Amino acid sequence: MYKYDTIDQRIVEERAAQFRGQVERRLSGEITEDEFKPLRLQNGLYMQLHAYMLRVAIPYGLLSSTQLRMLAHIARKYDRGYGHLSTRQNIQFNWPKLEDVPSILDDLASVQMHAIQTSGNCIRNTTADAYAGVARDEIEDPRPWCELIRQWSTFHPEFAFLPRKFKIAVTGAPGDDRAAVRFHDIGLRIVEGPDGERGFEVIVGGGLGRTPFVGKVIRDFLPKRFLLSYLEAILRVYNQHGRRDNKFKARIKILVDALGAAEFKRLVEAEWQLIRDTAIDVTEEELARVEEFFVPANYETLPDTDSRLAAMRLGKNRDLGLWVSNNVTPHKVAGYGIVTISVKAPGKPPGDITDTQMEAVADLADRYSQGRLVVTHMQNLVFPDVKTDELESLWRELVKLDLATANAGKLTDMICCPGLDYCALANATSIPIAEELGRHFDDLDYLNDIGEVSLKMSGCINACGHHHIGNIGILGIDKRGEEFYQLMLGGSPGNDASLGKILGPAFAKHEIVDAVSRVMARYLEVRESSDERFIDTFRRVGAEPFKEAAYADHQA
Amino acid sequence: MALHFPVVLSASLTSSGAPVYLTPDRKWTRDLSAAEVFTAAETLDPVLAWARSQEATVCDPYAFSVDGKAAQPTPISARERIRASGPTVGLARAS
Repeated sequence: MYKYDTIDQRIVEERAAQFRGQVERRLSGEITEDEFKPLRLQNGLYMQLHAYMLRVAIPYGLLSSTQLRMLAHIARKYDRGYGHLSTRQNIQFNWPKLEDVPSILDDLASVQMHAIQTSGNCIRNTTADAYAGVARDEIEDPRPWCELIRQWSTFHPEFAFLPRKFKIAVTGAPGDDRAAVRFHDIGLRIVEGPDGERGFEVIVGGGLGRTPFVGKVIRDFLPKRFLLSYLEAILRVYNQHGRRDNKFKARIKILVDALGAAEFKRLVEAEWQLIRDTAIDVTEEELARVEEFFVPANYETLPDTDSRLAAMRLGKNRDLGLWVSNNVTPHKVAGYGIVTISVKAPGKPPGDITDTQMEAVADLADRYSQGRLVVTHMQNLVFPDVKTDELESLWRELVKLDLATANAGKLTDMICCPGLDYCALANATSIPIAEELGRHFDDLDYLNDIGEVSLKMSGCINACGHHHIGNIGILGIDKRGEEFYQLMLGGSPGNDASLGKILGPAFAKHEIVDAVSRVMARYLEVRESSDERFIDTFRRVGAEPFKEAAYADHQA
Repeated sequence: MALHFPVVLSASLTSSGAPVYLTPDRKWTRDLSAAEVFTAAETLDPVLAWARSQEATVCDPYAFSVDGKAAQPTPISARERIRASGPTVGLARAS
């Protein structure tokens, strides 16, 4: 993984020291909240419902075991003993005191981490495929490019005050988009051009929130060497033409929709012609320097173990078999597997992980995954490099930690925002619904029978829980002070990207879990075979059978 | 959104972000039941202006509606009910 050079290290240390002075002046009353707010936001510090919230950047989700131990230390010393994995591969602490935040930033800097640009109208943490570097279907590791984008965008003076926040995601697996690139301000897919040269398909204007859009392809193929100048051209067009007069219309997706993709592309290409040959682009030497940090792990030469994995799935130990079936993905290197550690135990807040779990997982990463792990946008963890021979041993350790739930990719592997239990913007709680769903669908055999289905839930229209792109989406709303929930069906984040549609009137809080249950039961009735995924059945039969089932017992 | 009286005046502590409520003797308390209830804009507005001058102690003072028929200040909205009583879900460590 990338290692800071002396300049990187100095930047984060000086930033922490600078923020210490700003906090001291705020606490003494020397500066007002209006003056302080933009300063704290630029350091990832929000004011939430009950306390401050600090969002720590995890570039493209990649963590070392040393960094995870530091996050555990921060959770224990300065917070309430846990952290929350976010849908942008970051981690959030929900209870820091203002006076402690500079010390937290010092601790983060000591392990090459920070909270810079995790808030505000700037370019946020660049996200990537959680299986980057180890996926079998990947044609190129996207992380060196993510790192270059991180370095280019950090403190970029021209893009520090954009019309709104700006999010970029990159995938190197053209066949399976696990990074939801079509729902980012810019999505980049590494693809092969006609002559075999690799480059980027550039997608712009995707997003969720109150006005969701699937991103539009504005360039089928961009030679890799031009990536930064092309990004700069897009950002310049957005900076110039984006709506600054209306916060709700300020994201680039609104601009792309208003201009049309063709006109937006024309503006970008015109701007790019002016700057494409400037020094912004990455030299071969610089790319090689960054790529050196992402060389493959130290793999042993092992025999192919695919048949062994298949045997484990059907073995006598059913719990282990289910876990291997659902949570272990084939690795590009023979003898290894990619392990998803589900942070979605039944009845627990999705994505919450305790300090003791973090420390134990860090130890396990050292023992089983060469000291590295990944935070996923699904709010789970991934060990990218686990020997097949050691899967059972790892599973036994994870069982002890309550981190061996065999539900990756299944209904209870939910994305869920913090909702009204923590968030100052939310209209309804989401975690209690997730916990109830987790308890209701606790039968792994039933979950396996249902198969691949995604459920995503947000406590407000801002859609941090990605409800628009869940096969099943749940949106919490407020009706005269009471919490209600809209049910949406048909969303998908991947290559078959689609936005879900509201099924009908909102359900009361006590009704929503049963409604989901009836939708699942109807799916099992109408699917053509056990191989037909929920989303495929939905696209084949439409919403009506599910609507009829969902509202069977509904009190209007 | 129009403010419906009666209301309580709230803010977040600068030191921790914790929700606090203004008492009749112009102190900030974590205890919603001890909050002053305002029944008209004429009495609320000058106090809100005073609260905004207390920036070293609190951030972003605002008023929210409470149930006028209840014996103690009881928020109308789910948001303020949860803000007053804390998360409805157990913390990860506790669970």
